[in-house]
Amino acid sequence: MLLNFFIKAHPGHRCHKRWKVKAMVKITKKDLFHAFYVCLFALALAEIFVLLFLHPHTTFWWEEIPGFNAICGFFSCAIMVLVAKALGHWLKKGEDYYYEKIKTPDKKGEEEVK
Amino acid sequence: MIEWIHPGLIFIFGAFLIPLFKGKWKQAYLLLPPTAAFIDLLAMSKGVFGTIPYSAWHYPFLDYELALGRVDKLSLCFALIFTLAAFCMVLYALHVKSSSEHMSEFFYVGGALGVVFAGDLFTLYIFWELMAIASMLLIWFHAGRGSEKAHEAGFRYIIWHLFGGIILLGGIIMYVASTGSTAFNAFSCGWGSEYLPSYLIFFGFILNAAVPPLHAWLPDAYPEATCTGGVFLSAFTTKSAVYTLLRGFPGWEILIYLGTMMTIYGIIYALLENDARRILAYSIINQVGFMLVGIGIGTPLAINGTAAHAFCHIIYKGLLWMSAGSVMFMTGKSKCTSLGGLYKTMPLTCVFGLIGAMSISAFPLTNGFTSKPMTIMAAANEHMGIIWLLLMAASAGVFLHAGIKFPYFVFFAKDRGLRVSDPPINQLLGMGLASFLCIFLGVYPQPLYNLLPYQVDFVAYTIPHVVGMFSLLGFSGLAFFMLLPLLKRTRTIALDTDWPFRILGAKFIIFCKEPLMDFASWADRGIKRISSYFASFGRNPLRAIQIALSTMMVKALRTFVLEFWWRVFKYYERDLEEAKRLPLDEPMESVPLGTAVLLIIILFLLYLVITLMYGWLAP
Repeated sequence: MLLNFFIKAHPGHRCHKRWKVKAMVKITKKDLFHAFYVCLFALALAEIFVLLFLHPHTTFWWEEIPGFNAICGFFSCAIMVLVAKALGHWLKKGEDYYYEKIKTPDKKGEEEVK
Repeated sequence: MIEWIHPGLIFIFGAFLIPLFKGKWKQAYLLLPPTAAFIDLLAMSKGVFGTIPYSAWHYPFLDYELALGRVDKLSLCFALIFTLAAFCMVLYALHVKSSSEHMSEFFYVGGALGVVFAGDLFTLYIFWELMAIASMLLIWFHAGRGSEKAHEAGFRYIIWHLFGGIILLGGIIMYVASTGSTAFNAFSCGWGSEYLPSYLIFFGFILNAAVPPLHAWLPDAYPEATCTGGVFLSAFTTKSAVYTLLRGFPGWEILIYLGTMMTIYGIIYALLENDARRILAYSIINQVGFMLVGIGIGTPLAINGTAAHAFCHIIYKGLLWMSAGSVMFMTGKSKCTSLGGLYKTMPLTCVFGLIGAMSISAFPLTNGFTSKPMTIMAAANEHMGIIWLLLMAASAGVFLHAGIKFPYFVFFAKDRGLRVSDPPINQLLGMGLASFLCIFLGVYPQPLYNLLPYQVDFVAYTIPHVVGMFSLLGFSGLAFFMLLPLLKRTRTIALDTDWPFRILGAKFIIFCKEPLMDFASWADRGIKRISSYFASFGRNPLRAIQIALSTMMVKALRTFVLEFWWRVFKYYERDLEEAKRLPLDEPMESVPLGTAVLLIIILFLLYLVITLMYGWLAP
């Protein structure tokens, strides 16, 4: 009985009004993205904090740019997506490309040989 | 007393017993060889850590010694992960009823283990080819269930591999002829024609490691395999090639550049692809790229990084292929354009797929984080700035294509109305075991580090590492969602380096079939006409000449004939046609046998007289 309640108790469920639950909090896609942005902001701050106060061992000068990992992650991905998009212009073909390109030769030639 | 049992042979001989069992007994038996091989390996490893023991089986073969078993830390590390992965994958594939499919899986694993333990080049070659053929069968089993594409892809796959195998064999023979030794150790490398055997062997290895432009077989054939076959394929061929490169060419600089190119190449193509399993296939190329960079750098840290990365990669890539395979098993689809929204009805598969995706993108607390950064750190320690930057970019890109794109388009994104449940329990168990290993080795990597060939002084969990990795991945995720409109899935394929073979090769065959055959039949007809003329000439020379001359005359005069003569000419033509149609022998008179013999005797007599006279007259 109790288990049944938990399974059925969600806002969209059609049942007797005794079981009806009001939509209290609805997590939307938008809320998830807001949480994601907050996390990213916190990460960027954390990275600067690490750089300033923990003095990690670095090999290259560009590792000391504040927020280097964030910049690297964002721009490398953006560049790769754009390059892929540009290459897709030439490389993307229809699913049956190879089958359309190579038509099976008709039997005309074979009959003549016979 | 047998002091050493080859784990590969456990698989190969175990395969022959599979058809003897049925139903539940078969399922139980299938798990036995992987378990036995695993116990065998654990017993083998007792007391050998820290030193590099050399115990080998030797067999004479063509006056050379075959060393079937070379056991040291490197080969043990690869053998352990191969056996472990085989156990997970066999568990995943338990629902498959076909004995022959299980047999080829076992041969494949056995071949890979044979390559890993091979102490000489001939053994290596034998197991290498066994692996190629068994893996082709795994693709063809899908063709047996009605996939025409799998049939063709299997053919292309085996052509690539036999080509690579022949080059490898040529290299091995030249190497043995020039050095006199068959031992499989590091080859001498450099620039110059005296290193040709090394180059040929290298070519054979990098073809199996799927280095562009020799990689087209991988994204072409792997996604055409059965849903369980693809899982096996993802692990063994490329990783055994990584092992052989690690053994044969450690520290060869060119591998750094090839590997870096591979990492970027795999990402770009994975972003272009629509087929979920093809995305994962390109992701293999990307991951093997990291390993090749490690081999090319060749320092102890880099070698450790490569071995650890290969170890973890086999687990999480197997896991990803398993989740893609389960989706395909349940829905029958693998294209991103027809998948989506599966998290609602396949929650467990979705969770396992996400664990695999997080591991491959090296999230902290997964095994990718404890293995892949070693290679990148090795590049930093050698002060390779550009390589380091490209590898960092590639790590972000891994998250982009395998970490987000694959699960997003398969399990989330647009709901396509597919309502299928989670796969059978054995598939879930296989995925669960692999997920457990992913997280276990991510939280507590010490067992993995103990297996590596060199002493490990790499600490994964430091605050800068963790924060840096999270921020790299987080912002690449941001880039993905911002550029999502550009990544819209289309019903397309992406052309790759096999285009010349598939288009020009097919065109060549069409050329052979049509124009070349037309020419041949034309030439054939001409020659037939000439020969028939000779035949008629031989029978009745006078008439043949007469007919030929009059035909030529008719053809020549045709143009000059006046209106008035046309009728007469026509009659003449008709007569000629009739003359042609007459039997050739008709005007000949048949000669009785006696007369013929008399004529022959007279001819002989004449011949005798001439000979005698010649004898008198000659000086």
